[in-house]
Amino acid sequence: MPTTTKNPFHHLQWDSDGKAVFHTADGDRFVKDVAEVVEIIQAEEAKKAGSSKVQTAVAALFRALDEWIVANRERITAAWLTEHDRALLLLVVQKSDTYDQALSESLVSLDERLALDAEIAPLRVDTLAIPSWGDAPQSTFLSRRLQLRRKLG
Amino acid sequence: MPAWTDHLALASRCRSAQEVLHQNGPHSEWIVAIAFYEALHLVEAVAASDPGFQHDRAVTHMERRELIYQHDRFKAIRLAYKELHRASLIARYMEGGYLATDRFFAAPNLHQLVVVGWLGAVRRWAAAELKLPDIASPAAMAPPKG
Repeated sequence: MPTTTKNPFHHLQWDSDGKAVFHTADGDRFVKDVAEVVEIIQAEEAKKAGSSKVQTAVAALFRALDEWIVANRERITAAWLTEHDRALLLLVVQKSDTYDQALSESLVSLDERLALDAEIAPLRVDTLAIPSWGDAPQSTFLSRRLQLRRKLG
Repeated sequence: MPAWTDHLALASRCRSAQEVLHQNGPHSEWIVAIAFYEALHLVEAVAASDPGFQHDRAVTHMERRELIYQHDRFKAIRLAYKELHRASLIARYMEGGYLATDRFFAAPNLHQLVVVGWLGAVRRWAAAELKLPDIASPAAMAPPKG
Protein backbone atom coordinates (compact mmCIF):
# COMPACT_ATOMS: atom_id res chain seq x y z
CA MET A 1 0.00 0.00 0.00
CA PRO A 2 1.53 3.34 -0.96
CA THR A 3 1.83 6.06 1.64
CA THR A 4 -0.44 8.93 0.84
CA THR A 5 1.76 11.57 2.40
CA LYS A 6 4.70 11.02 0.06
CA ASN A 7 3.08 10.36 -3.29
CA PRO A 8 1.19 13.10 -5.03
CA PHE A 9 -2.37 12.02 -5.76
CA HIS A 10 -3.53 11.71 -9.30
CA HIS A 11 -7.08 11.29 -10.36
CA LEU A 12 -9.30 8.77 -11.78
CA GLN A 13 -12.83 9.48 -10.72
CA TRP A 14 -15.07 10.01 -7.75
CA ASP A 15 -18.29 8.12 -7.31
CA SER A 16 -21.48 8.87 -5.47
CA ASP A 17 -20.55 6.28 -2.81
CA GLY A 18 -17.70 8.50 -1.61
CA LYS A 19 -14.89 6.33 -2.99
CA ALA A 20 -12.16 7.60 -5.27
CA VAL A 21 -9.67 5.64 -7.36
CA PHE A 22 -6.16 7.07 -7.44
CA HIS A 23 -3.02 6.59 -9.44
CA THR A 24 0.20 7.58 -7.74
CA ALA A 25 3.29 8.94 -9.43
CA ASP A 26 5.04 5.57 -9.10
CA GLY A 27 2.26 3.73 -10.88
CA ASP A 28 0.25 2.26 -8.01
CA ARG A 29 -3.50 2.28 -8.17
CA PHE A 30 -5.69 2.23 -5.10
CA VAL A 31 -9.09 3.10 -3.75
CA LYS A 32 -9.58 5.47 -0.84
CA ASP A 33 -12.40 7.23 0.93
CA VAL A 34 -12.66 10.73 -0.47
CA ALA A 35 -13.06 12.02 3.10
CA GLU A 36 -9.67 10.60 4.03
CA VAL A 37 -8.04 12.29 1.06
CA VAL A 38 -9.63 15.64 1.84
CA GLU A 39 -8.50 15.33 5.45
CA ILE A 40 -4.91 14.97 4.27
CA ILE A 41 -5.22 17.87 1.84
CA GLN A 42 -6.82 20.15 4.43
CA ALA A 43 -4.76 18.92 7.35
CA GLU A 44 -4.89 22.22 9.22
CA GLU A 45 -8.69 22.43 9.05
CA ALA A 46 -8.97 18.74 9.99
CA LYS A 47 -6.79 19.30 13.04
CA LYS A 48 -8.99 22.17 14.16
CA ALA A 49 -12.36 20.57 13.46
CA GLY A 50 -11.60 16.93 14.23
CA SER A 51 -11.68 13.95 11.94
CA SER A 52 -15.36 13.05 12.33
CA LYS A 53 -16.46 16.59 11.51
CA VAL A 54 -14.31 16.58 8.39
CA GLN A 55 -15.86 13.30 7.26
CA THR A 56 -19.34 14.73 7.78
CA ALA A 57 -18.28 17.89 5.95
CA VAL A 58 -16.92 15.94 2.99
CA ALA A 59 -20.14 13.94 2.70
CA ALA A 60 -22.18 17.16 2.74
CA LEU A 61 -19.80 18.78 0.27
CA PHE A 62 -20.10 15.94 -2.22
CA ARG A 63 -23.89 15.98 -1.94
CA ALA A 64 -23.88 19.70 -2.76
CA LEU A 65 -21.41 19.31 -5.64
CA ASP A 66 -23.26 16.32 -7.08
CA GLU A 67 -26.58 18.17 -7.01
CA TRP A 68 -25.05 21.18 -8.72
CA ILE A 69 -23.28 19.09 -11.36
CA VAL A 70 -26.42 17.11 -12.20
CA ALA A 71 -28.47 20.31 -12.44
CA ASN A 72 -25.88 21.95 -14.74
CA ARG A 73 -24.81 18.91 -16.74
CA GLU A 74 -26.01 20.48 -20.01
CA ARG A 75 -23.76 23.51 -19.49
CA ILE A 76 -20.48 21.80 -18.61
CA THR A 77 -18.16 19.29 -20.24
CA ALA A 78 -16.04 18.31 -17.22
CA ALA A 79 -15.84 18.76 -13.44
CA TRP A 80 -12.95 18.19 -11.05
CA LEU A 81 -12.34 18.54 -7.37
CA THR A 82 -8.84 19.86 -7.00
CA GLU A 83 -7.02 22.28 -4.68
CA HIS A 84 -5.97 25.89 -5.16
CA ASP A 85 -4.82 28.62 -2.78
CA ARG A 86 -4.87 26.18 0.20
CA ALA A 87 -8.52 25.37 -0.43
CA LEU A 88 -10.53 22.78 -2.28
CA LEU A 89 -11.66 23.92 -5.72
CA LEU A 90 -14.53 22.72 -7.85
CA LEU A 91 -13.19 23.34 -11.35
CA VAL A 92 -15.70 23.06 -14.16
CA VAL A 93 -15.17 23.40 -17.87
CA GLN A 94 -18.08 25.14 -19.48
CA LYS A 95 -19.58 23.98 -22.74
CA SER A 96 -19.84 27.43 -24.29
CA ASP A 97 -16.57 29.05 -25.33
CA THR A 98 -17.97 32.49 -24.55
CA TYR A 99 -19.36 33.99 -21.35
CA ASP A 100 -22.27 31.97 -19.91
CA GLN A 101 -24.17 34.17 -17.47
CA ALA A 102 -26.62 31.48 -16.33
CA LEU A 103 -23.77 29.18 -15.38
CA SER A 104 -22.05 32.00 -13.50
CA GLU A 105 -25.19 32.83 -11.54
CA SER A 106 -25.67 29.17 -10.71
CA LEU A 107 -22.09 28.94 -9.42
CA VAL A 108 -22.63 31.94 -7.13
CA SER A 109 -25.67 30.15 -5.67
CA LEU A 110 -23.47 27.10 -5.09
CA ASP A 111 -20.82 29.32 -3.47
CA GLU A 112 -23.44 30.72 -1.11
CA ARG A 113 -24.55 27.22 -0.18
CA LEU A 114 -20.96 26.07 0.40
CA ALA A 115 -20.19 29.12 2.53
CA LEU A 116 -23.33 29.01 4.65
CA ASP A 117 -23.88 25.28 5.16
CA ALA A 118 -22.84 24.58 8.73
CA GLU A 119 -21.91 20.97 7.94
CA ILE A 120 -19.52 22.00 5.16
CA ALA A 121 -18.05 24.85 7.24
CA PRO A 122 -14.84 23.03 8.35
CA LEU A 123 -13.77 22.88 4.68
CA ARG A 124 -12.59 25.75 2.53
CA VAL A 125 -14.07 25.37 -0.93
CA ASP A 126 -14.03 27.63 -3.97
CA THR A 127 -15.48 27.20 -7.46
CA LEU A 128 -14.24 28.23 -10.89
CA ALA A 129 -15.66 27.82 -14.39
CA ILE A 130 -13.25 28.05 -17.30
CA PRO A 131 -13.76 28.00 -21.07
CA SER A 132 -13.24 24.73 -22.91
CA TRP A 133 -10.20 25.07 -25.15
CA GLY A 134 -8.50 21.71 -25.04
CA ASP A 135 -6.58 20.23 -22.12
CA ALA A 136 -3.94 22.90 -21.52
CA PRO A 137 -6.15 25.56 -19.88
CA GLN A 138 -7.72 23.18 -17.42
CA SER A 139 -4.40 21.60 -16.49
CA THR A 140 -3.26 25.11 -15.48
CA PHE A 141 -5.76 25.02 -12.63
CA LEU A 142 -5.42 21.37 -11.59
CA SER A 143 -3.19 20.70 -8.61
CA ARG A 144 -0.67 17.88 -8.84
CA ARG A 145 -1.83 16.57 -5.48
CA LEU A 146 -5.56 16.26 -6.10
CA GLN A 147 -7.41 15.78 -9.35
CA LEU A 148 -10.72 14.02 -8.83
CA ARG A 149 -12.81 13.98 -11.96
CA ARG A 150 -16.57 13.62 -11.63
CA LYS A 151 -18.32 11.23 -13.99
CA LEU A 152 -20.85 13.21 -16.02
CA GLY A 153 -22.42 10.34 -17.94
CA MET B 1 -2.39 47.27 7.91
CA PRO B 2 -3.71 49.89 5.45
CA ALA B 3 -6.62 52.07 6.53
CA TRP B 4 -9.78 52.16 4.44
CA THR B 5 -8.64 55.42 2.89
CA ASP B 6 -5.40 53.72 1.80
CA HIS B 7 -7.46 51.08 0.01
CA LEU B 8 -9.45 53.82 -1.71
CA ALA B 9 -6.23 55.42 -2.89
CA LEU B 10 -5.05 52.07 -4.24
CA ALA B 11 -8.40 51.57 -6.01
CA SER B 12 -7.97 55.01 -7.56
CA ARG B 13 -4.49 54.07 -8.82
CA CYS B 14 -5.96 50.94 -10.37
CA ARG B 15 -8.51 53.09 -12.19
CA SER B 16 -5.81 55.40 -13.52
CA ALA B 17 -3.76 52.42 -14.66
CA GLN B 18 -6.74 51.03 -16.57
CA GLU B 19 -7.14 54.36 -18.38
CA VAL B 20 -3.47 54.47 -19.33
CA LEU B 21 -3.59 50.90 -20.63
CA HIS B 22 -6.78 51.57 -22.55
CA GLN B 23 -5.24 54.60 -24.26
CA ASN B 24 -2.07 52.81 -25.28
CA GLY B 25 -3.20 49.83 -27.22
CA PRO B 26 -4.83 46.46 -26.68
CA HIS B 27 -4.01 45.29 -23.17
CA SER B 28 -7.22 43.51 -22.32
CA GLU B 29 -5.60 40.93 -20.03
CA TRP B 30 -4.08 43.67 -17.84
CA ILE B 31 -7.18 45.86 -17.90
CA VAL B 32 -9.13 42.86 -16.61
CA ALA B 33 -6.51 42.01 -13.98
CA ILE B 34 -6.35 45.60 -12.72
CA ALA B 35 -10.14 45.88 -12.74
CA PHE B 36 -10.21 42.94 -10.34
CA TYR B 37 -7.66 44.60 -8.07
CA GLU B 38 -9.68 47.82 -8.05
CA ALA B 39 -12.69 45.78 -6.92
CA LEU B 40 -10.55 44.03 -4.30
CA HIS B 41 -9.46 47.36 -2.82
CA LEU B 42 -13.03 48.68 -2.79
CA VAL B 43 -14.11 45.57 -0.87
CA GLU B 44 -11.18 46.04 1.50
CA ALA B 45 -12.05 49.72 1.96
CA VAL B 46 -15.62 48.89 2.97
CA ALA B 47 -14.48 46.09 5.29
CA ALA B 48 -11.74 48.20 6.88
CA SER B 49 -14.14 51.13 7.39
CA ASP B 50 -16.39 49.03 9.63
CA PRO B 51 -14.90 48.09 13.03
CA GLY B 52 -17.50 45.32 13.23
CA PHE B 53 -15.59 43.25 10.68
CA GLN B 54 -12.33 43.34 12.69
CA HIS B 55 -10.67 43.50 9.30
CA ASP B 56 -7.33 44.57 10.65
CA ARG B 57 -4.81 42.37 8.89
CA ALA B 58 -3.86 41.26 5.40
CA VAL B 59 -6.09 38.46 4.14
CA THR B 60 -5.80 35.85 1.41
CA HIS B 61 -8.18 35.65 -1.54
CA MET B 62 -9.89 32.74 0.20
CA GLU B 63 -10.37 34.66 3.45
CA ARG B 64 -11.75 37.64 1.53
CA ARG B 65 -14.10 35.29 -0.28
CA GLU B 66 -15.39 34.03 3.08
CA LEU B 67 -16.00 37.60 4.19
CA ILE B 68 -18.03 38.28 1.04
CA TYR B 69 -20.15 35.16 1.37
CA GLN B 70 -20.70 35.21 5.10
CA HIS B 71 -21.98 38.77 5.43
CA ASP B 72 -25.10 40.08 3.74
CA ARG B 73 -23.49 43.48 3.34
CA PHE B 74 -21.53 42.02 0.39
CA LYS B 75 -24.41 40.07 -1.14
CA ALA B 76 -25.03 42.64 -3.88
CA ILE B 77 -21.55 42.24 -5.33
CA ARG B 78 -20.99 38.49 -5.03
CA LEU B 79 -21.55 37.79 -8.71
CA ALA B 80 -19.62 40.83 -9.95
CA TYR B 81 -16.66 40.20 -7.65
CA LYS B 82 -16.52 36.51 -8.54
CA GLU B 83 -16.61 37.31 -12.25
CA LEU B 84 -13.84 39.88 -11.95
CA HIS B 85 -11.70 37.38 -10.05
CA ARG B 86 -12.43 34.68 -12.62
CA ALA B 87 -11.65 37.04 -15.50
CA SER B 88 -8.32 37.94 -13.92
CA LEU B 89 -7.44 34.26 -13.46
CA ILE B 90 -8.28 33.48 -17.07
CA ALA B 91 -6.35 36.54 -18.26
CA ARG B 92 -3.24 35.78 -16.21
CA TYR B 93 -3.03 32.02 -16.15
CA MET B 94 -4.65 30.55 -19.22
CA GLU B 95 -2.50 29.89 -22.23
CA GLY B 96 -2.26 33.09 -24.31
CA GLY B 97 -3.88 35.28 -21.65
CA TYR B 98 -4.84 38.15 -23.93
CA LEU B 99 -6.28 35.83 -26.56
CA ALA B 100 -8.20 33.98 -23.87
CA THR B 101 -9.55 37.24 -22.46
CA ASP B 102 -10.52 38.70 -25.83
CA ARG B 103 -12.21 35.53 -26.98
CA PHE B 104 -14.00 34.59 -23.79
CA PHE B 105 -15.28 38.05 -22.98
CA ALA B 106 -15.88 39.04 -26.63
CA ALA B 107 -13.30 41.83 -27.05
CA PRO B 108 -15.60 44.57 -28.43
CA ASN B 109 -17.81 44.23 -25.35
CA LEU B 110 -15.01 43.88 -22.84
CA HIS B 111 -15.35 47.40 -21.42
CA GLN B 112 -19.13 47.07 -21.21
CA LEU B 113 -19.03 43.70 -19.49
CA VAL B 114 -16.02 44.05 -17.21
CA VAL B 115 -15.72 47.76 -16.42
CA VAL B 116 -19.28 49.09 -16.77
CA GLY B 117 -20.94 45.85 -15.73
CA TRP B 118 -19.03 44.04 -12.99
CA LEU B 119 -16.63 46.72 -11.84
CA GLY B 120 -19.44 49.28 -12.16
CA ALA B 121 -21.56 47.19 -9.78
CA VAL B 122 -18.74 47.08 -7.23
CA ARG B 123 -18.08 50.83 -7.61
CA ARG B 124 -21.76 51.70 -7.12
CA TRP B 125 -21.95 49.43 -4.09
CA ALA B 126 -18.78 50.89 -2.55
CA ALA B 127 -19.99 54.44 -3.28
CA ALA B 128 -23.22 53.73 -1.38
CA GLU B 129 -21.52 51.89 1.48
CA LEU B 130 -18.86 54.56 2.00
CA LYS B 131 -21.18 57.47 1.11
CA LEU B 132 -18.70 58.65 -1.51
CA PRO B 133 -20.66 59.06 -4.76
CA ASP B 134 -17.57 60.07 -6.73
CA ILE B 135 -16.43 56.43 -6.77
CA ALA B 136 -19.26 55.65 -9.19
CA SER B 137 -19.60 59.01 -10.94
CA PRO B 138 -20.52 59.09 -14.64
CA ALA B 139 -16.95 60.17 -15.42
CA ALA B 140 -15.60 57.08 -13.69
CA MET B 141 -17.91 54.83 -15.71
CA ALA B 142 -17.26 56.34 -19.14
CA PRO B 143 -15.10 54.41 -21.59
CA PRO B 144 -11.60 55.86 -21.47
CA LYS B 145 -10.72 58.07 -24.41
CA GLY B 146 -8.37 56.27 -26.72
